[in-house]
Amino acid sequence: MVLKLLILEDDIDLLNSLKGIYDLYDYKVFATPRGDEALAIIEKERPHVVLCDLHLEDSPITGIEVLKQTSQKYPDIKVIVATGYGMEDSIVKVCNQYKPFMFMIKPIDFNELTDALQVLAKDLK
Amino acid sequence: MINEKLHLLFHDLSGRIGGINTMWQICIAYIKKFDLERLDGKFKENITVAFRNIPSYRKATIEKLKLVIGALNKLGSRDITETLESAINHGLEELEEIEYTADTLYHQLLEHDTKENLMRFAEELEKLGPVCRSMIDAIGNSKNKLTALGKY
Repeated sequence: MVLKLLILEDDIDLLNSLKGIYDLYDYKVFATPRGDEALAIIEKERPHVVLCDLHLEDSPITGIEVLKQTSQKYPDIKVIVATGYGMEDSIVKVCNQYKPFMFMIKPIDFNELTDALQVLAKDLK
Repeated sequence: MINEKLHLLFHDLSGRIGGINTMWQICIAYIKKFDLERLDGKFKENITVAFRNIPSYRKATIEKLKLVIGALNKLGSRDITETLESAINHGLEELEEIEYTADTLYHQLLEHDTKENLMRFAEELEKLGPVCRSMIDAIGNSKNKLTALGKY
């Protein structure tokens, strides 16, 4: 089974570059800078993994809301949280409540992220 | 209590530097894929896009730094402002030098995509990592000092 990955990231250059490289890993990659679009993709495509930026500029729905709805409606989907805000109280509270699969403080360590995705992809086979 | 405006400015500044840090790692991932699979076309195109993003992020960092320094000046902590500005500017200069050398190696790679040229390009890009981390650390130190003074 091919790993289905949704990337939610408001930095368009980063979004496109991450999509570009993970396409080469033979994952089925969806990418959007908007929380509302992410929820629609999750509903339709049921990705195995969501890489979720919590702070999204110009998005009507925050990454926090995406994490919340995904964990409540689709607990099987692994959410990897990426945030530049660090471990602030509000972020810790959200993560304790909705329990993402993994938490990454930006700048994203690409190798760490790739290793995690490869483990998840292997588990699908 | 966090100064929300300054917090967002620091976030934006860290984000641009973080973009450089992730982008060089993506370039290396493309290089490894290219080296392993020797496929042409899309790989080179993708390396080019990721590599060209690095100077874009560096230029955006310069703009974000101006905003942070402007906000810090209003807080009146001159030492912290000057230390941060100096650390980031030093990092930006180092980044530009590495970019310049990497650009030369990149053109050599486009002409001759030998394993040696791939590795030389990758090794130059890897030098960006410590510079980015040093700048991110400088931002963290400034935040800590401001917090200790009750200004963040």
